[in-house]
Amino acid sequence: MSPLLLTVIQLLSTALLAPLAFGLIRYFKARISGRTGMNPFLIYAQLLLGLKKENLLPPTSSWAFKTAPYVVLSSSIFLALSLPLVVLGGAGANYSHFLLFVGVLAFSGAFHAFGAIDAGGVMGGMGASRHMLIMCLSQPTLILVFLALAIRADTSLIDGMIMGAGVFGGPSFVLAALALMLIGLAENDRYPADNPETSLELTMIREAMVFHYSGPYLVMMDYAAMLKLVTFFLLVTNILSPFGLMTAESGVLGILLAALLAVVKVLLASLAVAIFESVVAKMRFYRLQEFLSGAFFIAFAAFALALVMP
Amino acid sequence: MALFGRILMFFRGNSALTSRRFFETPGQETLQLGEDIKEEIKRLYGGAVLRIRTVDAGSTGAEEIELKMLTSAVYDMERFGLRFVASPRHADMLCVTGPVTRNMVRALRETYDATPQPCLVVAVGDGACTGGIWNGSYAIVGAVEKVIPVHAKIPGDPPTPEAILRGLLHILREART
Amino acid sequence: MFNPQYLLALSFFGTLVSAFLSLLWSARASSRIALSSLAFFSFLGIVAAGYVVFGGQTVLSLPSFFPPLAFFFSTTSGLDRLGAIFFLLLNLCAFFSALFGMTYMPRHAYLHHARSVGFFFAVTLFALDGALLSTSLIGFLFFSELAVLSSFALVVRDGGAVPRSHAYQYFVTHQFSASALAAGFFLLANGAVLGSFGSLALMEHELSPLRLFAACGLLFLGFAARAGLVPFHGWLLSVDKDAPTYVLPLLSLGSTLSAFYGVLRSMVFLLENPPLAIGAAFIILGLFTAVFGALLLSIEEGMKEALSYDTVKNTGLVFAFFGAALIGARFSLPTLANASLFAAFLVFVSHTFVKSGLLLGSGVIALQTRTDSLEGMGGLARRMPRFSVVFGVLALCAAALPPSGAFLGASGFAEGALSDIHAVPSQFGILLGIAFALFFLVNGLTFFGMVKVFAMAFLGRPSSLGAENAVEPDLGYFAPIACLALLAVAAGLFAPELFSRIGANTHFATDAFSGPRSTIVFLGIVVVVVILRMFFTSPKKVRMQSPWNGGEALTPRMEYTATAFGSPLRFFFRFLLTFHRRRVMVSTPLLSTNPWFTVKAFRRETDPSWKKIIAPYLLGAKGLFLRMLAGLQSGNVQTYVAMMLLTLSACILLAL
Repeated sequence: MSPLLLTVIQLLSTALLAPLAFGLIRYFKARISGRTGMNPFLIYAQLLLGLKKENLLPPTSSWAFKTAPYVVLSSSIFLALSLPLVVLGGAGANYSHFLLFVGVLAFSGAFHAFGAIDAGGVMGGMGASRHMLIMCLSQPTLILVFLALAIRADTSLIDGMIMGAGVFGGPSFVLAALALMLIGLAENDRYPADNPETSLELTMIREAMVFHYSGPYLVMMDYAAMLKLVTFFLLVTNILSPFGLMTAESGVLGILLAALLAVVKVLLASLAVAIFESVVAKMRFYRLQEFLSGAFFIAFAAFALALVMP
Repeated sequence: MALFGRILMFFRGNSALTSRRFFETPGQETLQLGEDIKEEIKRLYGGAVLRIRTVDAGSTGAEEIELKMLTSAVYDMERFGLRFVASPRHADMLCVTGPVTRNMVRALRETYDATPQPCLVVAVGDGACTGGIWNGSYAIVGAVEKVIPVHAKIPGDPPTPEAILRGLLHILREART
Repeated sequence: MFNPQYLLALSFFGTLVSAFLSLLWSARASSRIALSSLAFFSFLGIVAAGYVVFGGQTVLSLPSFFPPLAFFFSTTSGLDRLGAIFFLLLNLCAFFSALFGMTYMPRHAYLHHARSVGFFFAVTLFALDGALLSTSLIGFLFFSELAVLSSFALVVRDGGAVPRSHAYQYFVTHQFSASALAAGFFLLANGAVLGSFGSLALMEHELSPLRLFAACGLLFLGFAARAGLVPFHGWLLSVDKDAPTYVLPLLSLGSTLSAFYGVLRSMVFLLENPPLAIGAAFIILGLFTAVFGALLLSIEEGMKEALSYDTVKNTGLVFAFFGAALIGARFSLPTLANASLFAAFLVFVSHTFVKSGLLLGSGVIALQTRTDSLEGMGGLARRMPRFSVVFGVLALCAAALPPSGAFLGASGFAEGALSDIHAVPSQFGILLGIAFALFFLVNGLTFFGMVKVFAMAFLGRPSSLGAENAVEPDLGYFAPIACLALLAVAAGLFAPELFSRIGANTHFATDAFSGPRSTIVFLGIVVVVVILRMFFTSPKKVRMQSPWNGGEALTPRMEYTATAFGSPLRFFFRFLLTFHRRRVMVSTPLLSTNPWFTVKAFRRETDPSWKKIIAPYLLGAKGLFLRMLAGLQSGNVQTYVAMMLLTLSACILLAL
């Protein structure tokens, strides 16, 4: 099966799974709180509904407000294409260099912040400033995590790290996976960094940035966040348990297995995040430095251990 | 899932939620109301999610408490597809409470402007519907319809959560015809 | 076909000619004529250097025209590839600055002494070119000194107190650097001052390790001061504030680039066995500077100050990469050395284009908004959309985001260093590991800073009258900046191909993702998203609606200001910033009769705290020195006779 077809299958499956991950987290959190919770499949309806609504633009905004949703969504799609989420060795494998991954995340974060500030309202600048702090401190941590994995796997493509021989196991791997999970929480605006369900503006980070978007732009921003979330889910679960991925040699059975396992992985990851969010409280913003420094030093320890140990 | 919920509540200790009285599931009437609302929303939008933005235009806070209780484990409006959102730009419906004080007139108008059409406006509580006991005061403008177009009213001071749900159902039936 | 030697000679001497051209006419005419001639000659220099760098011609030498020049330029060699790269960069910077100046100066000739500024600008370029062309030590030092003198004249031009103090700071730092360089070269050449860099290479094996270490240490200090590493970075901050805009890129970049050239020429490409401690010193001081610069870039509120800290940070990074290359050479790890040099080259090439563009752009903004502070700008993207796109591209390239050269340098360095890092002994392995972590932290902080600079300057609501009434700058201002932005992006996209054309060993960089291909894929995805959006949604449903203003007119102060934007980072790194400008509470009493009624305001100090701490000691030392001097000048004849006797005996002892 050609790599291009593999990549297309991966894009379609992540695109379809993305809103489900969001909905599942909300559903599991509600169930843990003793409520019944919204049907996870209603998120699809919410997105499609949003496309029909009016688009409100601030009169003082410039091209940055209008360009940001496109850039953010395109970055999420690029990541979904290139990373080894459902397939291994697809057409996008050459673009899964870990520095390109981090660079594209940073690029989309920069444009997200530009769009927020350009709205000219009160919320955007605050969200952008906090978001930029999280970005600028999680960027080196992510790089160190993947450096640690790259040293073990002897390749810089994430595609190669997943199935790398010497990667799995060992203290360096455990620390790297832990740091990746912590940074994944921070980057995707989940607890303890950000509360996606908050209505208090002073506690918002990402919600403050999409505060001024409506209609199709809002759908693009929300969907990009969901894609990024499912990307991180599948990436972390693939690093922890690298089997069941589709490769060019797998037949129809392999495709079905990979798709089913992707759904299972998203389910398990959503459940894990929901349990974590129900147990942990959101941190005060000025205490986030402890969280991010902790993740940085864990990643640095993983990197140092990978350097030192054979 | 119910067993898990019970175990969790047991470990949370002696709170009001664990005492037997509040442990009963909501009444049949409420559940039927919720099912009706779900059908209406589906017919109205072609979708099944209604995002609500509440605006407190000068209420006593009682209606706010009742609206907040809609999200609690007892009534749980999320299972019916209703959600509260933080920004009017993300909302499909505005719930306005309280008689509109003069200081909040401009805020209310701006919020209505900031809600993308098509949107519904609901006045919740006596103060929002008619001005209530504050009618004629120098500090208020009056009912919400004097400021922005209102599609429906839910009277009560404050209306119980069931009354609010009933009102929403009525609105959605009216909007269909 | 044109002989590139003629082009080179024409370009070099033509620069001197345009210096004198600027003295001849009235201010406005002279600036037009002199700057256009300077642009022409620097363009010739670009072409000539391009021949050398890409065309495969290895040496161009000037003394073949005029033998007496051999004193300065030495007969053994002329412009080789290394010097040609720097020649190319300097002349590109000068070319675009001159183009910018051709529009800027005739309109603002009344503000500056146009003739003297043009003269000293051309002389600075001439001197910097000469330093690159001459491979003899005397010539290098002479032309560097000439560049320092003319830059000093540029900065001090109107004699106000503040520019004078900045100029003296610049002058003193560079004189210190020149003396350290002279001493280092003297030691390295074992007394043969009339030699060239080539003869230094021969001398290296004859020197004792201690002497080599001392010489390298002196050279390191000299180049660090010239480039602007941390204890010596003050001149970079002050020099960016005073001169007319088009002069600024050459003032800061010329000195730093010649320092990089000097390090490469005299240490990296020369020594086969450089002392380990020097390599470690490069890395440690370089990284410290980089972190310092990146941190302060993110928290400063003045655009030009932020850009100066960006230069400080890039200088630190380049020096750290040079240190890694020295360590690679010491332990015979060619991949590490190549990767470090690749990264260093990309950082300073991309920085040249980016900084020139950003400085010229900040000048354009300052013309309209009359302020240098980010808090006085805002909303410019709506008023000048074309220019804001160009500035945005430059800012994102400065932030080491994917299409830019600095990003490619980071990835190339990571690739190359990783493959060799096991071969390095453990203590240096730890150093390199920490260097990795700090390098990426620096990139993260720069990302924050450049996003802040662009966002606060261009997005949001205009904060001042000038920003509200800003207009799109003319083509004469816009074109040079746009060209620099294109060059910056091209430097990142096409760097591996260019490097392989000039014969450098960059297989590690081409193994990684391909810059142009990923950019095309990304743009393709954007196009697909645009098409999907137009297909699924109706673009007619758009309404203009102003954000919620809290019941009052929404003023720019209600938005997050530049100070507020940087405050999370200031809080996070508050321990590192204890000696920076602290926040103090200033309380002024309202009534003379009652001290309890005060107005309290929070201000940031204008001077860093460390200046206040060391000020009493400095004053005391100065007083002591002056008293000693007064004692020596006491008018006592015996003191003078004793001093003469002492000097005579010292001379006799030294001669023997």
